Amino acid sequence: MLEVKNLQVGFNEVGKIKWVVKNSSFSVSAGEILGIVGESGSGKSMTALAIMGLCPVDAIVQGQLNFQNRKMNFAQRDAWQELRGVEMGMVFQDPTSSLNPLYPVGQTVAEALVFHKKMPLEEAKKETEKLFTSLGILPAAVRARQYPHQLSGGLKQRVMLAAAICCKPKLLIADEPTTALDVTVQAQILNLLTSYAKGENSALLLISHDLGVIAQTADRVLVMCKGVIVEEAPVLELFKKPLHPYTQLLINSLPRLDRAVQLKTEKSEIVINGSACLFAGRCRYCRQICLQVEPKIKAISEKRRVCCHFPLF
Amino acid sequence: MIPELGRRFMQTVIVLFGVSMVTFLLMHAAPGHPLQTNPELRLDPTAVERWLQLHQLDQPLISQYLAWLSRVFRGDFGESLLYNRPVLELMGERLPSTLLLTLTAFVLALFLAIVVGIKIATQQNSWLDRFVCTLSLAGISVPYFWLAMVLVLLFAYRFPFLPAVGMRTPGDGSILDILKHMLLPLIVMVIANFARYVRYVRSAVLDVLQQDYVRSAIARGLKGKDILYRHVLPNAAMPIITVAALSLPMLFTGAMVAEYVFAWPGLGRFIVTSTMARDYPVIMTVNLYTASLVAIANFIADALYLLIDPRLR
Amino acid sequence: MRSNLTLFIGLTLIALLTMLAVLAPVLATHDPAATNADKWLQPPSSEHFFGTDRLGRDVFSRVLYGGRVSLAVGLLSTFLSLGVGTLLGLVASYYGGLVDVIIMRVADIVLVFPSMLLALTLVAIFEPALWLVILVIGGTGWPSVARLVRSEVLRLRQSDFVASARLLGAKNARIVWQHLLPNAIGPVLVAATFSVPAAVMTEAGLSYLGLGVQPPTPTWGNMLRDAQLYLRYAWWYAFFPGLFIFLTVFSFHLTGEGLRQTLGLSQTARRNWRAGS
Repeated sequence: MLEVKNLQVGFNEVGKIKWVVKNSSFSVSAGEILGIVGESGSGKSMTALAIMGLCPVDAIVQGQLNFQNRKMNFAQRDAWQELRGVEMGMVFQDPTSSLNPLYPVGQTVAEALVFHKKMPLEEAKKETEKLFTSLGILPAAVRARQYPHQLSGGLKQRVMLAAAICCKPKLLIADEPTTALDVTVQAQILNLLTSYAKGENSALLLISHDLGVIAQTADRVLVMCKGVIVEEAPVLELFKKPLHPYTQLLINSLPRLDRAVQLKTEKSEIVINGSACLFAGRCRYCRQICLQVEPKIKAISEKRRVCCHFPLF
Repeated sequence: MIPELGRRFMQTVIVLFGVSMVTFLLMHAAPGHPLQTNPELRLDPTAVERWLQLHQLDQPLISQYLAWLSRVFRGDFGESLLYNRPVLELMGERLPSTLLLTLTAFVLALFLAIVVGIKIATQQNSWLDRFVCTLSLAGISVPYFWLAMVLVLLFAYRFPFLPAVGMRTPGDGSILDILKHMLLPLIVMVIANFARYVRYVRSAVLDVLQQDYVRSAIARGLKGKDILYRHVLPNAAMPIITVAALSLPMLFTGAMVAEYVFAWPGLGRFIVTSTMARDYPVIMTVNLYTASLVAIANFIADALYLLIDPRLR
Repeated sequence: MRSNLTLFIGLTLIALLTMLAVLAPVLATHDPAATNADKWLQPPSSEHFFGTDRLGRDVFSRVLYGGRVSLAVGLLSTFLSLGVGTLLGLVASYYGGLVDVIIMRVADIVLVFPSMLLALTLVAIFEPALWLVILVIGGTGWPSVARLVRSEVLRLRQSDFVASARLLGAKNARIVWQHLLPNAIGPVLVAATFSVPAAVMTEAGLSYLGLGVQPPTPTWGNMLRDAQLYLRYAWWYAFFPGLFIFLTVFSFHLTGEGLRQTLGLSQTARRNWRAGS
C-alpha cells in the first residue's frame, strides 16, 4: 500500500549536504502496524515527515514514494495537499503544543470534517461528538467545547487522534505518540491506535524510541541508526533473535529485573573514515572490514533484512 | 482574569497619579517661574508678586499640588497662564485636527503593516521579504521632520501640486481641500509607523508559523489560507495588539513633530509653545492627557487579550 | 553569510561616520563658525561641497562638527541608560519583593510617559543645554533596559546551570557576576545598538524644535531648524544634515540587526510552512 524506495533526506550545511535519512527502502501493507525504532537523531521522525510531505522547506528530499498506486514526487509538495487529512493522517509527539490554544478542541476536529467532507458545521459537530465518544473523550459534548489547556495530556492526545482519523485515512503515522504522556495513559492510546488500524484495515506507522511500546504494538519493526535502516524483522523474531549488533544493544539496554543493565555508551572513536560502517565505533564485534566498507542492507530470509557484515546468529 | 483586569486598571490609575505628581514636582521644584522665561521682559517686582499670588504660585508645593488635584477631580483643569483661557477649551479646539491626522495615520499604517507583514512572513527570505525588511529598517532610521522637509521640497516646491503647510486654504472649507493638506503629513507619519509595525507583524507571524499546531494543521490537510486566517492570525494578534497599544505615545510625539513641520493646527505646536513658556496648567493637563491615553490603550489591549485567549479567562 | 554582510556594512558605516566626526578639525574645509555675507545660500560647488547656509557658513564643515555632538550625545546617553538600566534590572530581579515592585513601577511610569514630552518638560524647566539633553535621553532610556535585564536574569535564574552552580556552593555575588551578567550581556548589547540611534534621533528632534543643543554649536538638528525657513530656496541646506542623521541611525540599526542574527537572537522559520500554502 505504501512503498518507500531509496528515500534520502538531507540539509545543506555550508556547501556540504548532511544526510539525516540515507537510502531507506521499506513498505507497509493495509492493516499492518509497522514500528520504527531508533534513538533520537536516527532519522525516524524525518522519515515520517517525508512520507507526509512535511519536511522543512530547506530540506533536500529524494527517492520514490508509491502510495496506493500513486507515484509521489518529492519536488512537488502541493501533490500532498489532497492526501493529507484524507488519505494519510499523523499524530505528533506533544499534544499540548500541537493543538491551537485559542480553539475549543472540538473545533479542531469539526474544522477538518467541514473542510474535507464539505459537511455543514452542525453535522460536523455531531460527528465530532460521536468520534469523541468512541475514543473515550467523555462527556463528549462538554469536552468538545473545552480548550486545550483544560484537558489532560492523555485527552489532548485522544483529540489529536480524533482529528487525524476523522476522515478515515488509509495510512496513519504516529510519531512518538506516547512519549509525552504518563505510562498509565500510554497503553490506552496505543490500544486506540491499534484498534483503529485493525478496525479500518489501515496501515499504521508507529515511531518510537521505546522498544517496549514497539513490542506491545507493532507487527513488524524497522530499526534505524544514524539515518540508516539497519534491521527489519517481524516483531517476535526481532526480540528473540536480533541480527544486528545495534538491535542487540537496544534490547540489552532495556531495564530488567534479573540482571544489571549493560550499556556501552562510551564512543570509542577509532579512526572512522567516510566509508566505515556507521555503527563501527560502538560495535563490540567490529572487525577490520567494518572500518573500511560500509555494509549494504541484504535479505536474510523472506521477512528479514539486515545491514551488517557479520549478522549475529 | 476579570479581577485581574480590575487590578491592572487600578495599577494604571496609580501610575497616572505618579505621573501627575512627578510632573508637578519637577516643574515647580525648578528655580524661577513662568514670568522669567522671557529675559527681555522687565517686570515690576511687586506686580510679579501679585501675579504669583493670583495664581497661588507662592504657596508651598504640597498645598499647590493638593489644590490642583482637588480641582482636577471636579473637572477643572485650570486656565492657561499664557492665553488666560481654560486649558480644556484650548485643547478642545486643537484636539480634533490632531486626532484626525494621528488616528488616520495609525489605522492606515497598522492596516498596511498587517497585510504586508503577513505576506512577507509567509515567504521568508524571498526577495520581497528582504526588500521590505531593508526598506523598513531605512524607514525607522529616517528622521520624521527631515522626511517631511524632503517631501515638501519635492511635492510642494519642485512639482507644486500639494500645499506645504496648514490644514485648509483660507476661504475654502471643503473636505477635498483638507485632504490635500493632510496628504503630506499623513504620508510622513504612515511611512514612519508602517516601518515600525511591519517588523513586529512579521516577527509575530513568523513566531506562530513555527509552532507545532501549525504543522499539525498542515498534517490535517488544511489549505494555506485557512491555516493563516484560522490558526496563525488569531495567535499572532496578541503581540501585534501589544505593540499597537504601546506605540500610541510614540505616535503622539511623532505627530507633535510632524505637526510642527507642517504647521498643522493641532496639539503639537501648542504643546511646544506652552512648554517653552512654562504654562504650568497646560503642561500638567497635556501630560495627564497623554498618560491617560496610554493607560486606556493598555487597558483596551488587556481586554482584547481576554477576548482572544481562553487561557486568561 | 547575509547576517555577516549586514553587520559588516553597519560597522563600516559607523566607523566611517565616527572617523568623520573625530577628524572634523582636519577634514573641515572651512571654519564651521566663519560667516561670509557675500556667499550666503550658495549651492554645492567644488569649494563648498554641501553649499553654504544663510550666513555664508560652509555646510560641509558644519555637518562634520555637528556629527561630533550627535555621536557624543548618542554614546553618552546610551552609556547612561545601559548603566542605570542594567544595575536596576539586576537589583530588581535579584532582590525581588518590594524592591522589585518599586523599581518596576517607576520604570512603568517613565515608560508610559512619551520621552519627547518628558524632554520638553525638563528642557522647559532648566535651560536647554548639551548635558541636559544627554541626561534626559539617558534618563528616559533606562526602563526598557532594566526590563530586559530583569526578565533575562529571571529566565536564567530558572536555568539548570545556575541551579548547579548554587548546588556547588557558589555565593550570590558570584552567581550574579559569573553567571547571570555574562549571559544577559548579548541582549543588552543588542539593546545598545537600538538605544544609540534612538538617542541620536531624539537629540535631533529636540534640537530641531529649538529645545536641544543651542546655536552657535552646530548640530544636525539645529541646522535643520535653521534650514527650514530657506527650504524653498536652498535644498542643500536641509538635505545634508538630515542625510547624515539618517545614515548614522541607519548604520546602528544595520549593526543591531546583523548582531541579532549573528548571536542567533532572531528567528527563522525553517519549518514546513510552505508545505501547504
